[in-house]
Amino acid sequence: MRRVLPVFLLAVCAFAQQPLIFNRSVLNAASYMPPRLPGGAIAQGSIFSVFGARIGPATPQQVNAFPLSTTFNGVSITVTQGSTTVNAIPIYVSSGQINAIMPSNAPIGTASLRVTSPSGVTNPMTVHIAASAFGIFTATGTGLGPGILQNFITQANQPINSATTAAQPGQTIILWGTGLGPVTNDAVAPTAGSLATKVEVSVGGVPASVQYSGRTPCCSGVDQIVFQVPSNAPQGCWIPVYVRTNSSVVSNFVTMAITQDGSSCLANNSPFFTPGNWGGVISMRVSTHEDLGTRSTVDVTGDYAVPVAYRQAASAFPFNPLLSWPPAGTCTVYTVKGDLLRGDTLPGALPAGAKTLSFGAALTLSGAAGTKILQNLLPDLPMRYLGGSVSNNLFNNTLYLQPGAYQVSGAPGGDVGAFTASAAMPQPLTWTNRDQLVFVDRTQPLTVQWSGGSGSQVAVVGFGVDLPTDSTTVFGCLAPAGATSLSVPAAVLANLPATRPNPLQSKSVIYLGNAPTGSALAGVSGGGLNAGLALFENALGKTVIWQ
Amino acid sequence: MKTSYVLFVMGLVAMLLFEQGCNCEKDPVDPNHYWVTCMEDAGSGTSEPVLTNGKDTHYAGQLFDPSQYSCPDTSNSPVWTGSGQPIYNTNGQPKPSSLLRPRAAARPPVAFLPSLLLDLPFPALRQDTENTTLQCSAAQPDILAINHDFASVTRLATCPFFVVAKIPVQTRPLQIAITPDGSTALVTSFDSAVNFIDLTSNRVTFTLATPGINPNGIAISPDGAFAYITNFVPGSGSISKIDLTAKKIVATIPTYSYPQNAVMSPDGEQLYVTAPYVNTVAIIDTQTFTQAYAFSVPAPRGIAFNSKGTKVFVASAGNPDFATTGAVLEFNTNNFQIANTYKVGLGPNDVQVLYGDQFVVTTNYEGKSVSKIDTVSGTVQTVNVTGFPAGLSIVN
Repeated sequence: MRRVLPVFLLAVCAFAQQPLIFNRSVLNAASYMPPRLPGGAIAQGSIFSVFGARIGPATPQQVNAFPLSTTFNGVSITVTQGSTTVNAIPIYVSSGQINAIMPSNAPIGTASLRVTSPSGVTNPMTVHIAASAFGIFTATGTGLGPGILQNFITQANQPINSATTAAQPGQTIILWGTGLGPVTNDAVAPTAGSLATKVEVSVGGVPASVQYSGRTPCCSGVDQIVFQVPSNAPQGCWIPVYVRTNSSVVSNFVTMAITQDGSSCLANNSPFFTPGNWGGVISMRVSTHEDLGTRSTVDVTGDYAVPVAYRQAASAFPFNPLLSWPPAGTCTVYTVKGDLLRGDTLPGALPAGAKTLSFGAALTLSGAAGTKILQNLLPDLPMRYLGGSVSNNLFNNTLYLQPGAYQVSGAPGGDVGAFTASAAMPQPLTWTNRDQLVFVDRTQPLTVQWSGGSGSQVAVVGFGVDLPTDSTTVFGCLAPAGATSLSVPAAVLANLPATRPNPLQSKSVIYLGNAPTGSALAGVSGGGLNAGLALFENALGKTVIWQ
Repeated sequence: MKTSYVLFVMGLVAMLLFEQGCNCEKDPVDPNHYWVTCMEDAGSGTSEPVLTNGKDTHYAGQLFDPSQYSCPDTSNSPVWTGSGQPIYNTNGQPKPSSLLRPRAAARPPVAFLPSLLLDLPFPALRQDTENTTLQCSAAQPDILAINHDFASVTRLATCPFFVVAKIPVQTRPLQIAITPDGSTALVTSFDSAVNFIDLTSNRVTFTLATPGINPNGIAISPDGAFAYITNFVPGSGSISKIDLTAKKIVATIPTYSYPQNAVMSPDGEQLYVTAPYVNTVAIIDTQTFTQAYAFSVPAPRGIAFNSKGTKVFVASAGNPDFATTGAVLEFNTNNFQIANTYKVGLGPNDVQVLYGDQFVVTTNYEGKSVSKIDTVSGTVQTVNVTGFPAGLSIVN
């Protein structure tokens, strides 16, 4: 039925050669934050990336000398707002990507950007320009995960922070990014000196002392922020770090490793971040109270199982956005393109270089309500549907994952061999202030309160999906074991997109659940896996309005 | 080319005069979902849209409680059940005259209706045994239907189904768009006007004369600041930008001949315009109000975006005058490459994407059918209807 008719293929070729900037593909070169999110503007004097087709030469070229020019290898870029046009400075050009410096005198606000390449002139693309909007470079090149931060030891010894080269409390760190703000001349080697832009750095939720925030003398558009790791910063492999400029604009959240003595932080996490075969079956119940955007309030509950297995490659910067949770008492944020609540995935969820492993034919889940053979819910989506219910008698109740003991079994026949694991679905939490959470002011801390949980850690995850701009911000916070409330800092909420007046154009929801520990978490035996987990999650959801 | 188009439309006139009532079809895949399609009722002697439960015909002026009626093949089932996304196919093709009548596409309903369930990742999946009945509510949105040959717009409540108002407008109205705040409907009239209808009073409060311009398609920016109209004339097709606060045209740019539908991308940054007589879809950058790009589609008619604006679905009839094929082309809006082609009924005209982005619905004018595309499985269901369906609104 999905046959592509040749006549149509021929038809579209008529316009095929014009160079093209892809939609919403003018991004901060470090954070890659979607441009319509609050922190996604392009700062004056910052480096931005343009993605498209035929927008530069087939062979990539990088500038290597000052002064920089507004034309490089036949590529030039105009930025126009009304009657004002300025030229950006290309510093890297290729057929599919350009990196350039937004001139420090570029007009603030909405403008239109166009590239002239040897192939012609591109379509115009809307760009949003701000005085400052900082992005932190990352080792993954996605704007997520380990940041490009150097542990300052001596002038001659400043290794990149990583899981195996952790920083110590009190140590001086050099953070690399772009977007602090304008300078006098973008075309020449920058002069060292802190810029006037107010800069705050947070390390694991603890304010850090900033010693320098300005251009690096080596490179136009590139900023350095020098700060000291707070003595009371939390420790671990993935301590969240962000930068806030002018008390309002929050950067992408990256991670850094901190240990007491600077040694590797991987000891407690190594099974899932070292080379080898990793696998797991995640079984979850999610009960969402949908009281905004629906005809009438409904409580929707779904039971799912997600089997995942892959062969992990070695990485100097181990990170998986789904597994690399911040330490208890802290939060992290991902700002990405797409709708994470409908099929789009976080960059790095399948680690770079990893190979997905298949399961055998019969993957079963056995519990008090009988045995379920887990079938693929949708092609290419490893989520298996187990049952569900909707209040108001809209659907028949077919729930399966009631609290209690379960056994997960895999049969031979796939990349993953036969295995078994036993774990328990915990009782749900009681969300004591759920109904009070309707309008959430993103400039104020958000408090979530609950009871129950049997002393386990509790996770609070919030989503803001803006459909018209195809962007998602998701935050994840982990409460310490035994806590009954958690305060989400305003900076964590800052990059959530505001809920639109038409709620069907937004997805704004908070989830609250136990972080699987104890009987809800079990090792997988067999299957040829170096490490495997069966975990059970019982989460609650609530729709909100991000204001 | 235009002569043949006129003859074709006149040919339709004769057929339309003998078409009557609506049709109710059981969805072959979703047994609890019915398709209700309507054509004008010649027997009533009016051009008012009508709706039927498949057994009796209910004229637009009558109250209609869908929970009390059934399709002929399932006498005990309500008309609107199942997915929570009933489809109303109103009469977008009123009793025609012998005049040239550019093809019009329906616009969205007056206001959105929140869905039964949100498109969140953990829904309770529907089972065959589900028990769903849509409760009729006055809170459901109204539909605005163009009466091209009667210089009016009919406002219809959808549940119950009855005429709320009949609003006189400038002659030969064609297309309609609603401001984001739901306060105003803008209606293009081929006879050189854009009508501003206050949806509180259901009256035209302002008529923007457009001398030398024959407006056809219309789209409104998401912020409600501007409207864009296409100028449906030979040789000098153009697109005009209207400042909705000042209520005047602030810019006009040339485009291909006979530009028809104008559809805004969800983020408001691009305006897609169909030009079926040159087999082209033009993309206008709204920031600069210049043509940014164009791509070819054989006789493009209706256009619809998915909610994220990453895909655009274009109805292609093969030939603008006599449809030779029926296809919906799914384009990637980044590179304008075809991602999928779906075979639908002959002459697809209107396209709408249902909430959740999985299903795309078309009315197939020449094929006298309605198609539903499942973009996940790639399957298409096409059901025949009575008459020549045109005009499509989705009530979530």
